[in-house]
Amino acid sequence: MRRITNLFSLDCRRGMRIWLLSALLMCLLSALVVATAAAANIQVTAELKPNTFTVGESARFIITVKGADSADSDMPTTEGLSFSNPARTHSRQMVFQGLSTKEVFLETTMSFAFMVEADKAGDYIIGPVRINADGKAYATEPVQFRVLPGQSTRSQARGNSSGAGGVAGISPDGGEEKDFSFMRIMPKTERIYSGQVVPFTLKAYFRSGQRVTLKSAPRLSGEDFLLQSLDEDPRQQQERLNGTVYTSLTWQGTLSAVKEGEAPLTVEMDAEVLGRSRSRSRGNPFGSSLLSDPFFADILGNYTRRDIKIASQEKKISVLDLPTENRPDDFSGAIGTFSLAVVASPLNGKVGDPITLKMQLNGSGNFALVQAPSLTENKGWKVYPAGSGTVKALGNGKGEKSFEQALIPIEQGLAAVPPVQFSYFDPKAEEYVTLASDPISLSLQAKDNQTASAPRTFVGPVSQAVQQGGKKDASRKNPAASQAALQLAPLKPELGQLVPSIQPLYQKLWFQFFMVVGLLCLFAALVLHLRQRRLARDPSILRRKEVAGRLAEHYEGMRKALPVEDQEAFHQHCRAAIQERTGEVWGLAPETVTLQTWSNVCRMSPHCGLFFPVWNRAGMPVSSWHRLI
Amino acid sequence: MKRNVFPLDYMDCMDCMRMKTTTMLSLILPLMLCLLVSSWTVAGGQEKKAALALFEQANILYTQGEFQQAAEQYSSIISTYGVSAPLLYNLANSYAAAGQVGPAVLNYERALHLTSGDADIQGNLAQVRKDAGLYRDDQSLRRRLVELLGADQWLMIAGCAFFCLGLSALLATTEVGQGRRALHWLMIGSLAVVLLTLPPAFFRYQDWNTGVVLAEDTHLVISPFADAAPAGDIKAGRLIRPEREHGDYVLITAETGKSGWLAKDSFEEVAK
Repeated sequence: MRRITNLFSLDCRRGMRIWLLSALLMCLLSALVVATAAAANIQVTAELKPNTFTVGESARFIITVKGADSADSDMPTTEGLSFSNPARTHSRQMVFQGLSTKEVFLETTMSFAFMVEADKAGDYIIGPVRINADGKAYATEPVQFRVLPGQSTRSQARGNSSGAGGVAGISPDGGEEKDFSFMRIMPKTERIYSGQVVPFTLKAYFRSGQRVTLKSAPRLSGEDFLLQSLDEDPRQQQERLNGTVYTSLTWQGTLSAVKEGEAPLTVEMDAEVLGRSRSRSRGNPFGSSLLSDPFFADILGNYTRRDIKIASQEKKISVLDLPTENRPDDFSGAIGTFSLAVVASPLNGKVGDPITLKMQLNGSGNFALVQAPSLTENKGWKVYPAGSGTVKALGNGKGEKSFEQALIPIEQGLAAVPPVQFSYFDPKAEEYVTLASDPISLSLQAKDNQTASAPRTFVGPVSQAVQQGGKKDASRKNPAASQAALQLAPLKPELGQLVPSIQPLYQKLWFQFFMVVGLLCLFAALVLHLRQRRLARDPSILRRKEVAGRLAEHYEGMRKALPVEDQEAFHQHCRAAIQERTGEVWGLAPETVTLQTWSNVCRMSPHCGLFFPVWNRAGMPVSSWHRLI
Repeated sequence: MKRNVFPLDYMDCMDCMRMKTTTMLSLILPLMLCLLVSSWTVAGGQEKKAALALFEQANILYTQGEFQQAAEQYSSIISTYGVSAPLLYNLANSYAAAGQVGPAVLNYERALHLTSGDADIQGNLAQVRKDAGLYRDDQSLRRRLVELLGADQWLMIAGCAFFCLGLSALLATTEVGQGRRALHWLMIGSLAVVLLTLPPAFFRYQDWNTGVVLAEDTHLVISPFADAAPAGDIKAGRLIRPEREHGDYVLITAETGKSGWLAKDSFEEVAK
C-alpha cells in the first residue's frame, strides 16, 4: 500500500513538472506574442492643456508615447512660443483586452511634458515633434491653439529674469488683474490746472502668496507732473479682483502738473520677487529631469530673486492753464479752496506801537505757493512784510497756513485795522475768488513823542580818505541816495590784502600744508607708540641695544689704549667687554661675571675653555692682545 | 701704534673744499631767494599802488554822491586786481547808496566770506536788509550758535586743534611722568575741539553755495518755462539756495522757505 502510494506520488510529481514546464513555455510564448504585438502598435499623441490661455499664463504641452519600451523626444520649437521645464514620466500597466479571450498584455506609456508660454496673443500651431521610439522615428500631429491677450508686458519680465529691469505691468486692454502685480493711480480729477495740487490714491497689487520686497517708493514717470507728497507707509490689505486674491498697498498723496496740455500720468516702482528659477537644458531636454522636476525644485529651494519694475497704466490728464480773464492783481498762484481767518493784537496800544496781524488760511490747495494776504489799505500804517508762513498738513490734501505781519500805526485817529484780502483760483468753480476779512476795530492812544516812528539814522565817522578826497556833500548830489548812504557805516579807507578770488580756507595751500604736518605728527606718534609698546612687551630688545652700545664704548676704549700702550686701560675695557657680552648671554649682571663664574659655567662646556687663555692673558703685555682684538 | 691713512695736508684740503662749497651754497641760495622774493614784492607793490590809487578815486566818487560811478570803479579794481574785504564792502556800500539792494547784499555777503567778524559789514548788511524788508524767520539756537563765526574761522579753530592734537601726541610719546599726563589732557582737549568745531564749519561752508537775487521784480514760476504760471515774487537781495537746473531756469529755495524756478540771470552766487 505504501509502495502504491509512492508510485502515485512519483507519477504525480512527474505530471506536475510537465504541467509547470508547459505553463511556463506558454507564458513565455504569450509574452513574446504580446510584446511583438505591442511593438507593432506604438501610438504617439500630443495635446495642450488648456487649449486656450492668455499671454503671461502657461499651458502644458504633453506628448504621450504608448507601446514603446524606450522613447526620446526633441524639444518643440515654434516661433513666438517658449518651451521650458521639460519633464518625462514612464508608466507600465496591465491591459485586459476582452474578458472572454482573457488576453492580457503589459502597456508602457511614456509622457513628455513642456511648459508653453506665448510672447503675444494669437493663433499658434505647434508643429510635428520628432519622437524616437524603440529605434523608429515618429512625429506628433500638429496642435492648434489660441493665446488670448492680457499679459503682454509679462514676457518682458520673463526675458529679463536673470537680471534687473523686468517690467511686470498691465496690458493696454485692461487685463491687469491677470498679472501677478500691477499698479493703479487714481487722481481725484483728470482735468487739472497747471500748479494745482491734486490728491490721488495709488495702489499696488501683488498676487497673494508672492514673496515681494519693495525696493523703491512709487515715483511718477516723466516730467509732466511733480509729486508733492506721498505717504511714507502704505496701507496693506487683501483684495479680491475677478476671483483672484491680491495683497494691495495703498498710498495717499498729492501731485501737481508742470505745464498745460494733455499729459500721460504713470507711476512706477521697483520691487524684488522671489520666484522659482527655470533651468533650460540646451541639449537633451530631459538631461536634468530630476532637478527640474517641480518636487525637487521645491525641496532644493530652487528659487531666484529677480528685480521687476511695476508700472501703472497710462492715464491721460488734461492740464489747463489758468485763465487770464478776471485774474485779480493780488493773485499769486494759489489754487484750491481756502478760507481766511484774521486776528490782530494788541488793539489798544499807542501810535507807533506794533500790532501783530495773524492770518490763517485753511482748506485744500497748493499751500507751497500760497502767499500772505495783503492789506487793502495802508494809509497811516507802516507795514512790514509778512513772513513766509508755516504750513501744517491736515491730511488728505488739506492743510492750513499761518502768517504773521507787523503793522505800526503812524497816524492818530485810525479806527480799525484795515481788511486783508487773499485771491485764489477755485478749480471746481473754475473762477478766481477773492476773500476779504472784516476791519478790526482799534482804539489807539496818542503817542508819547514824535520820534517813535522816525527811521533810525546811522551816521558813522567819515573815513580819513573820504574826508581828504571829499569835495561835495553827498546830500547835495542825490538826496534820496545820500540819505541811504548816511544810514550806513562809512567806507573803508584801507584797500586791504587783495586776493584773486574768494577761496575757502580748506583750498588754501598753507592750510593744507599745516594739516599735513599735523597728520604726520599724529602718524609719527602712532609709530612711536607702537614701537614703545613692542619694547615694553620684550625688554630684551632694549637690553641688547644697551649692551651693544656699551660694547662699542669698550671697543673704542681698547682701540684708544692700543696706540698709547696703556695696558691698564686696555685690560679694563677688555674685561668689561667680556663681562658685558657674557652677562648678556648668560642672563647675568655684567658685574657678577668673574673668573669663578667662568670656571663654573665652562666646566660643563668644552668650548668655553678657549676663553681661559684670554682671561689669563689679561696680565700679559698689550701687544700680545692685538690678535684677539 | 699710529696709523694715518691720509696725510694731514690732504685732509685739510678736502675739508677746505667742502667748506668753500658749503659757504658758496649758503650764500647763493639765500641771495637767489631774496632776489625772487624782492622782485615778487616789487611787482606786487606796484600793482597794489595802482589798485590803491583807483580805490581812493572810487572813495572820492562815493563821497561826491556818484554812487553808481563809484560802484563801477570798485568793480573795475576787482576785475583787474582781485578782491579784498574792504573793497567789496565799499562796493556794497555804493550799491546800497544807489538803491540797488541785490548787488549790495551780494557784495556784503562776499565781504563777510573774507572777514566774517567785521562789525561794519554785518551792521550795514543788516541795515540794508531791514530797509528793504528782507526779514528772516527766527533762527534756531543751533543755527545762531553756528553763525557766531564764519566757515573759515570754524575751520581755522578745528585746524589748529588738529595740529595741536598731532603735536601733543608726538610729544606724549617721548615725555614721561607728569608732563605726559598733561599732554594726554591736551590731546583730549584738542580732539574735543576738533569734533566740536568741524560740524559748524561744515554747515557754514554750505552757506557758500547760496546766491542773491539781483533783479527787482523777480518772479518765481512753478515750472522752468518762460510762460509758466507764477509762483510768487521774490525780492532783490533775498538769499537763495540753488538746487537744480533746467534750461535757463534754476530750482531754488529762498531763505524764507519759498521754492520755485528762477531765471538764471536773476541771481548770482556769492562764492562765484
